[in-house]
Amino acid sequence: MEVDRVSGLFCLIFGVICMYASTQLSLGSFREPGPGFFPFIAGCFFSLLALLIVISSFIPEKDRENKVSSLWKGVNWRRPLTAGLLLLCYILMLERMGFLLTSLIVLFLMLRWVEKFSWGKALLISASASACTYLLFQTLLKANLPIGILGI
Amino acid sequence: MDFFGNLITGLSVACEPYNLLFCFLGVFIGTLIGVLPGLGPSATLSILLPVTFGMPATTAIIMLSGIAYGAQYGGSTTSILVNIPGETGSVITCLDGYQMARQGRAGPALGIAAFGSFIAGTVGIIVLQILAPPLVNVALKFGAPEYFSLMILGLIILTFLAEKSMLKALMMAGMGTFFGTVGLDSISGVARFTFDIPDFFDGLGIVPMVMGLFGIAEIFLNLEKTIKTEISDGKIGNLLPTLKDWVDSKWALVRGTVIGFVLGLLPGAGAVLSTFVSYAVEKMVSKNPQKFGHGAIEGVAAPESANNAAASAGFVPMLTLGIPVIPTYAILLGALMLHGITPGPMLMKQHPDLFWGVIASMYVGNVMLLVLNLPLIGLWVRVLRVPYPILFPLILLFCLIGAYAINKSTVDVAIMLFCGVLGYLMRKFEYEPAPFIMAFVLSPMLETSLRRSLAFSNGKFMIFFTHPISLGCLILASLLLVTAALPGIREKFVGEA
Amino acid sequence: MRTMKNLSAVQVITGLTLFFLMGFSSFTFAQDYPTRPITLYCAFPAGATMDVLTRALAIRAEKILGVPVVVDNKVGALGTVCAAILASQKPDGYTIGVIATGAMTYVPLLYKVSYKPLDAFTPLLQFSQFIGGLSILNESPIKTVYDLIEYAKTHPGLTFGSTGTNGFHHLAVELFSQCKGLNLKHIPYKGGAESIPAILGKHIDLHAGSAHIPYVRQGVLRLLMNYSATKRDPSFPDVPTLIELGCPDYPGDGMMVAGPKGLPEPIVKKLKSAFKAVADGQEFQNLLVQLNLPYTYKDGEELNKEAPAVTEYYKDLNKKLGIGK
Repeated sequence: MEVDRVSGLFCLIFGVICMYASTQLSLGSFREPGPGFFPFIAGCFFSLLALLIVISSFIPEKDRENKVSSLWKGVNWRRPLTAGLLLLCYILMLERMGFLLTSLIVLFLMLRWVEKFSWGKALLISASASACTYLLFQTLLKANLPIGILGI
Repeated sequence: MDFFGNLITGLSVACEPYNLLFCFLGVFIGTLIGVLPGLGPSATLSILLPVTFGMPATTAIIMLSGIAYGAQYGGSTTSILVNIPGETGSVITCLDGYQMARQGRAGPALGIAAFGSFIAGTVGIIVLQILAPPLVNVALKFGAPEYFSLMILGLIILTFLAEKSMLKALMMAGMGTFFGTVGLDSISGVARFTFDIPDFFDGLGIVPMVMGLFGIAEIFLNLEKTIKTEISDGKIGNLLPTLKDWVDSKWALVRGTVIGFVLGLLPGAGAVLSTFVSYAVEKMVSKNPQKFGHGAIEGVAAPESANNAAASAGFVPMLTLGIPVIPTYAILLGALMLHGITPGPMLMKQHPDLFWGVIASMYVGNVMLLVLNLPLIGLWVRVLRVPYPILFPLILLFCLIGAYAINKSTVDVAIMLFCGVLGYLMRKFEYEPAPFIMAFVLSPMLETSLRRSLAFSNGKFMIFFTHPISLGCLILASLLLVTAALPGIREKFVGEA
Repeated sequence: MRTMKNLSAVQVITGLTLFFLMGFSSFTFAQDYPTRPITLYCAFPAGATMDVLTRALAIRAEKILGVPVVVDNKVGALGTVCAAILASQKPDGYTIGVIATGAMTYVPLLYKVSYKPLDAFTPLLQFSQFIGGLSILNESPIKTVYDLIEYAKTHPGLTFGSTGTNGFHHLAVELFSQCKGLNLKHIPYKGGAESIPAILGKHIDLHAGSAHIPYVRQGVLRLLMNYSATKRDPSFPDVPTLIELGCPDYPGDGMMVAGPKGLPEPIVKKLKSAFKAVADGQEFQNLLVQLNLPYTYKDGEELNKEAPAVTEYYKDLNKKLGIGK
C-alpha cells in the first residue's frame, strides 16, 4: 500500500474522531464560540488536509519506493521496538520500584537485549550510570525522585 | 536617563564578593539544568527557593535570575549534540544544530550558540536598562485582538518552516492546534479531552512532548542501524566558529536578538515563540533557504540569540511592573515577596540597590556564562566520541529522569514515550514535527485571544480590523501568505522540486 | 534463552521478597513521627500568593518538626487537581497539602471531582482567607463604588476582568452586577499575570481579583470595593464591602492545611500545633500583612463542622447566578 495513502487515511480517521469529540462539547456560535468550536475547526482543517494527502497519493511519482513495507526494509526494527517496550516497562515500574532499582534493571536489560553487551559490561555500565544520575539529581539537585517500596 | 550612573550603582552592588559568588552559582546551576533535558528553570527555581531564605534579598534574586537566563545558554547543548531540546527555547536549534554536529561541526555550532547567547543577552540588558518604562507601555498595548493577529502572523510565518510537503506541514499544524486545546478551557471553565487525568488539566506538557518528538524519535531511528561507534560522520573539525561562520551569521544574530527581545516582552509569548519566528524569518530572507535543516549556521545563530534576548526582555515587565511574562518570572516575583519586597511600579524607587544590582549582575552573569561555556565546548564535543551503544542508554536515562522531574509525574514520562513513538513514525512517513510544535504552542493563545476579543466586541469580527496594531499584523500576515503561496503554486504544477 | 530463564528466576525471588516487605511498610509509630521528609502539596502555581504562603509555612514548620517539609505544586482546575491528589494519598502524615476550603464546598458544585467533598480530607487548620477587590485605574474619574454604580447604570456593558471563570471573583462581581442592575460584562483571564496587564493596558474597565494590592498601594489602581469579606479591610478603611452595599456576597474560601481522610489523632495533634505555632509567629504575620491577607485562624474541627452548611449556602447562590450542575 502506498505510504502517503496509509498515513493520510490514518490521520483522516483520527481527524474525524476529533471533530466528533469536539461536537460533544458545546460549539457555541460564530459570535460566541463555545469550548468545542476551536477544536472542531482545527479537526476540520487537518482532516481536510489529510484528505488532500490521500488524494495526492494517487498521483504517481517516479523514483520513489512507495510501499509501506519499504520503510522498514533492510533496517533492524526489532531494536527500536525492544527499546520502546523497555521504556514502557520503565514507566510502569518507576513509582513502584523507585528510581534507582528501575533504572538499574531497565538500563541493564537495554544494554543486554538491544546492544548485546556481555553480562559484566552491562551490569557495570548500568550500575554506575544509575548511581551517578541518582547522586546528581537526588542529592545535588534535590529533585525528589520516586522512592520505591524498598525505600531507596 | 542616567545610564552610567545607574550602571555604576548596580555594579557596585553586583560586584560585592558575596553577590558575585551567588551569581556564579546561579548561572552555573542554570547552565547545568539547561543542559539536562527535561528539568527546567521553573522546576529548579521552586526547588531552590527555600535555600535562598537565609540570604539578603538582592543576593537571592541575583542567584535565581542567574538560573533563569543561564538555562538558555545550556539548552542548546543537547539540542546540537543529540537532537534533544533541553528547553522549549532550544527546540528549533535541533533542526540545524544537530545536522551540524553530524557533519562534524558540533564545535562551531556550540560556539556560535554561546557567542550569540552572550551578545543577545547583553544587548537585551542594555536595552532593558535604557528603555524599560516605554517598552513596557508598548507591551501593555497588546490586548486580545492584538494577540490574535500576532498569533495569526505567527502561524503564517510557520509555513516557512515547511521542509518538504506543504500539505503535510499544514496538516501537522492543524493537528498541533488541536492538541493545544487539551486541558481546562480558561474561558468557559470546561475540561476538554482530559479523560479525567489530572495531569492533563493544564494541557499536555510541551517539554516532554518535544523531548519525545525530537530526541526519543531520533534514538529510535538510530537504533535501526547498527552504529558501532560515533554518530557524527567524518572527523571533528574546529572547535570554534570560523571567520566564514561569523560572516554568515552576523545578520542572523542581529535579527534574532531583535525578534527575541520584542517577543520576549509580551506576556505569554516567551522564548519558544521567539525562536520559531526568528528561525522562520532567517529562512524567509535567506538567499538559499534549502540549506536550512541541513546544517546552516544561521539556523543556530538566530534562535540562540532570540531565546537569550527574550530571557533579558522578560525582566522588563517583571522589574518595572511586577508582571511575569512566563511562569519562571512568576517564581522570581514570588521570591521577592518571600523576602519582604513588594514588586510593582515602585520597585525601582523603593529598592534601587536591588533593582540596579540585579540588572548589573546580569551583565556579569552573561560574561561568566560565556567564560563557562566556551571551554566546555571541547568537553561536549568529546561526549560525541562516546560509542553510541553506550551513549544512547545514558541519554535515555537522562531523558526519563528529566521528564519525570518536571512535575514529579509519570504522566509526563508517558507523554514523552508516546511522542517518541509518534515522532519516529512521523519521520518514517515523512512528516515534520516543527510545525506541529509551533501550532501546539500558538493554539491556546490563538483561541483565548479570539474568544476574548469576541467577548469584548459582542461578536463583531470587525474588532480585529479597527485596532491599529491588530490590523497591521493582519496585513503583514496576508502579504506573507501571498509571498509564500506563489512559489508553492508554481511548484505544484511544475512538479516537486 | 538461558539468560531469559535466569532472569525470571531472579525476578520471581525479588518479587516475593518485595511482597513480604510491603506488608511492613505502613507501620508508623506516632511517637516517632515524623521520621522522614513530609511533602506539602500546594494547589497554586509557584510564585502565586498561596504558594508564597505555603513556602513560608514549610520553611518554618521544618524547624519545629525537625524534618524537611518539601513543597510540591500541583496546579489546576481551581485547586481540585491538588485536592484530588491529596485525597488519594495514604493518611500517614507524610503527605499533606495547602488547599482552598472551597475544594470541600463550592468547587465540587461546579466541577465533577473524583473525591467525596465532605468526606475526603482531615482539615488541620485554616490560616487565611481569600479576599477580593474591585479596582479601577487611578486616573479614572470614578472615585468610589457609588460613582461606579451611577456611571454603570447609564453606561451598560462596562467590562470587568477576573482571574478565572467561575472563580469567586467572577461570581461575587456578578452578584454585585445583578443586585444593582449594572449589566457588567465579564472577561475571563487566567490569573493575575494576565488580568493586571489587561487593566494597566486599558483593555478592561475594572479588575476583580486579589493581585491588585501592590498596584493600589503604589497608586496605580484605585480600590473601589471589597467582596468575600465580612468586614472592611483595616488597610483600606474607606472601602466598603459588598455586603454593606446591600448585596449578597460570594464568600471567598479559606486557605487550609489538610491531610487525607483518616489521619491518626496523634499525628493530627502534632501537625496542628506545629503549623499553628508557625502561623502565629511574627514573620508569618508580617508576610500576611505584606500580602494584605487577613489572619483568620480556624481549627480543623470547626472547618469540618461548617462545611455542609457552607455548601448549602453556595448551592443557593449558584442557583441565583444560574450556574452549576
